[in-house]
Amino acid sequence: MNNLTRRKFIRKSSLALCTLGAGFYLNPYEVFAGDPEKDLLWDKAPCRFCGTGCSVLVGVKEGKIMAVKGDPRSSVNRGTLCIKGYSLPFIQYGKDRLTRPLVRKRNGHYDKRGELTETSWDEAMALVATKAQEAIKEKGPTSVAMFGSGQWTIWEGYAAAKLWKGGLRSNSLEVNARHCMASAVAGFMTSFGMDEPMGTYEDFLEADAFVLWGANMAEMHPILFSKVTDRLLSNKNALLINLTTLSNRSSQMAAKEILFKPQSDLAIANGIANLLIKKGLINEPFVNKHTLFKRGKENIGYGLEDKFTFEEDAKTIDFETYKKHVSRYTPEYVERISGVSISDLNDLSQLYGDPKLKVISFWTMGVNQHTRGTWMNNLINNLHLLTGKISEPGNQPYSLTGQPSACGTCREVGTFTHRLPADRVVTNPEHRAVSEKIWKLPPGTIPTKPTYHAVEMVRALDRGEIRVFWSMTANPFQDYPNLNRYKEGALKEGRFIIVSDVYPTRSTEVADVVLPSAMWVEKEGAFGNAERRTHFWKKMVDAPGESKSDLWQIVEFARRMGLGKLFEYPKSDYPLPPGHKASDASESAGLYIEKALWEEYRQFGMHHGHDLAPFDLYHQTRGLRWPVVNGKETLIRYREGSDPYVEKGKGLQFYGNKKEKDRAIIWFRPYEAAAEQPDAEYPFWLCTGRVLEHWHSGTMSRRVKALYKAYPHATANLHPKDGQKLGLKSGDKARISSRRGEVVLYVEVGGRVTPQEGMVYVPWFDEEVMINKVTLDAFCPISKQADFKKCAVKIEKV
Amino acid sequence: MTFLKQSKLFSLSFLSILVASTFLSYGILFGNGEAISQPGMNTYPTSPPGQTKKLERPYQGAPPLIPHSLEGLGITRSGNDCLACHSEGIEIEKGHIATKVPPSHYVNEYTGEQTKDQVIGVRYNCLQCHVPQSEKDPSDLVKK
Repeated sequence: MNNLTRRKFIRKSSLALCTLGAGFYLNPYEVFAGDPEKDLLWDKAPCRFCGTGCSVLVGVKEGKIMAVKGDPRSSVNRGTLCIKGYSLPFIQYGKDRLTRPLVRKRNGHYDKRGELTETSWDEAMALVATKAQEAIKEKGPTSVAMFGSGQWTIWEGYAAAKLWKGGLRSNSLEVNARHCMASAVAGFMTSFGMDEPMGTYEDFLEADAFVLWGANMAEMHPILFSKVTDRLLSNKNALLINLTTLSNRSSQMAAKEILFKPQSDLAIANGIANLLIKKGLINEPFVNKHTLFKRGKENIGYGLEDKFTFEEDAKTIDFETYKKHVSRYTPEYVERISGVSISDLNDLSQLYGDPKLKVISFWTMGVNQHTRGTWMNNLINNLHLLTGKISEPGNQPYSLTGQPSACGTCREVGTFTHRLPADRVVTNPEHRAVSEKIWKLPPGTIPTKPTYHAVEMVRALDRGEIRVFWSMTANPFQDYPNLNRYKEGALKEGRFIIVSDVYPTRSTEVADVVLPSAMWVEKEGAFGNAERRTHFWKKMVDAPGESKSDLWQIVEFARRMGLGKLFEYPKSDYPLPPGHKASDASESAGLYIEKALWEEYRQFGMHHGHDLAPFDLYHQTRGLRWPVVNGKETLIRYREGSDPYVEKGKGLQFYGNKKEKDRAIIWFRPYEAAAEQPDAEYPFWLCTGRVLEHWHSGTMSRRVKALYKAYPHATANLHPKDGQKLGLKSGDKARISSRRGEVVLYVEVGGRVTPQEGMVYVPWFDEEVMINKVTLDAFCPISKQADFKKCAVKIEKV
Repeated sequence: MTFLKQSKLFSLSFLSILVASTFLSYGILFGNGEAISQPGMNTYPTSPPGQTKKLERPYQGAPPLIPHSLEGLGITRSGNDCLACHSEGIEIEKGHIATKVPPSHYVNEYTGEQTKDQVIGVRYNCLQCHVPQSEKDPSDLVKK
């Protein structure tokens, strides 16, 4: 660049900065004043998509979203966004947006074999309530199921939990986060006694090495990957290792891409631990002071059979016994199982073991969607515990999150069959008592037994134990593994399916009632991201037609079930502030219902390590990371000086494990084979996942022109050698089939994602390629999270 | 040790395979049961940089879309092929000037200071915001 251009650049940039300063830095808090240049009114909101939790500024004109920009005041993204974030102004304006309730009717009456027909809210909700009452009468409250998601706002998840567990007295409440984060939860709970990462994104700035464990971060968490990239470019000694089963874009910044065979990550992690021991790279003082060792049940199965149960049987072992167990994972043995070379294993152990190197391990679906997902989470945590590289800037096991509020809603509120808010469970009498007290319910109200986790829930629907199945903010009939069985189950007589959504989906195809939902900034909301940050937004535009928020729908359903009292609060305590654009739920309650629910919910976490701030504070900030004590957020948990829960003088305290004297657990977890492996008839591994441009099942992102055109279709990605072997080249059509189902799609050889030999990669965003008809519904017996990454298929040219 | 192979990662299927007969149909919305699937192939422009027209941005402030082929282009830690043309906005062919990287990409996100010659690290992965456009049109997607 010549000097003239450079000078011009600088001038322009300082001009830009001035503008930024005026626009953003001088205003103490938003809502921003109108931008006179564009005549847009700007307000902040978290992005609607992944778990990173970027903050965006939303520009509204005449009741319509016109633009977004990255929010420079958020420490998550500091003004940047990815292409999905930039596409937010279009997600609610698809031409086929659902705007009126639909009931399946024939000759003017409800009929399961009829056609979806426009109707009134009153008729639709009356039918929903009648069907729920009939089911409860006939089969009991557990036969009425709610399936929500990590895209629910926090108060929507909270209202559903309160209604189901405290009102209907049914634990048949699950979320799609079971398919997404359950193994991370089980991993954190079993290792540390408390869920969610101990660090924040700020830690990336201090790391010397990043290890990706089966996570294509460049596509799935682009803004977080850009932070990693920034660190790599600004520190020439920093490095990234991409441990993966397929070549992907994350390798572009990696010092090494290490391909391993599916399921063998268990052996690799144990192999690294073994080398740490053999090379004397264990941080002995740390291990002696802060950890203890355990061994759990082994040969634990895969949950393939209905009504599968699992009971952990954990035994404390000593360090010597642990050493003996992992000693079988010699570099030679690990190489044989995983295909990872001895020299790469040595490098990895050196990297984790070198006391001078700060290491962050990242993982997400590769490790979580795994029939040994909990084990794999434990094994990564182990590496950080054995070396003491944890709970300090640059040293963290960092579990990434898929959905914008998988943490805030599903994990923290506890919208799973077995959970209650703030890491509590229904099986614990004290936990139930606390919840009943906060909910002002008589003792003994909350049912004591979990009913159905996500996979078992649709099995129960198929068997007929569940009669009413309500999906909100999810697309279960595209997303579930082994879909053919569950879709058929939903279509059986006597099953009543309710789908609350914004567009027609594969799930509305099987619905008896479709309820049009308000989305994102059409309502007031709160999400919680992957660094424990809770962030709020206000309603900015009206929802189209008769669409109503999920919160309104839940409260209305409660009212019709005679449980409206659960959501009644003193109006004088929660008045709507003057000039406030009230949500539909607030309007109909005549009070600030989001605030009322929040202030009640927050009691669950107070003085319990999960403290959340008063409602109003969140609207004034770009979110706060819990525990928030005395208005101060916590950056690094378990570390004295940062975490107010650590007792003075302790330095580091894993206080989630009080029973274990504040020690974290190092688990011995062996390698066990995958539930289904390629064989002569089905010789390929199938791995599913996402792509940068699309979100989950694509119902929003495929309706955005730029995103659709960037990646219109799901293709079958193959290694060039496999393409040759099968006589398939890019653009050929192929059939992929398993023992459960098949899809026909086009092949791409050596594309953006190139699997290892013997594997095919198919993303699941495309409803024209229902790859989940092919996948296997095996799950981790501990977390109950299904493995969408491994099953056996055959591929034929058609 | 498997180092990154640029070409492999970025050969975004630019082989121009036209699947002429492929069309989308979302099938039945109102019937009970599943619509017939119509899978498709992703076909991207094959014209190299400097031979295509700029695409209209979705809105003012949205990142420019990529109108040209990405074949053979890559981003690694040691080099970024996009910036070869776009950092200065060079004229690739007569009348075809590469869209210049804007000043925002040179402002340090922590300090607010202007960086020297290098696009800031968080803006280095161009393809996280700037995406190619295939020939398909989503208007086919509307059901009903």
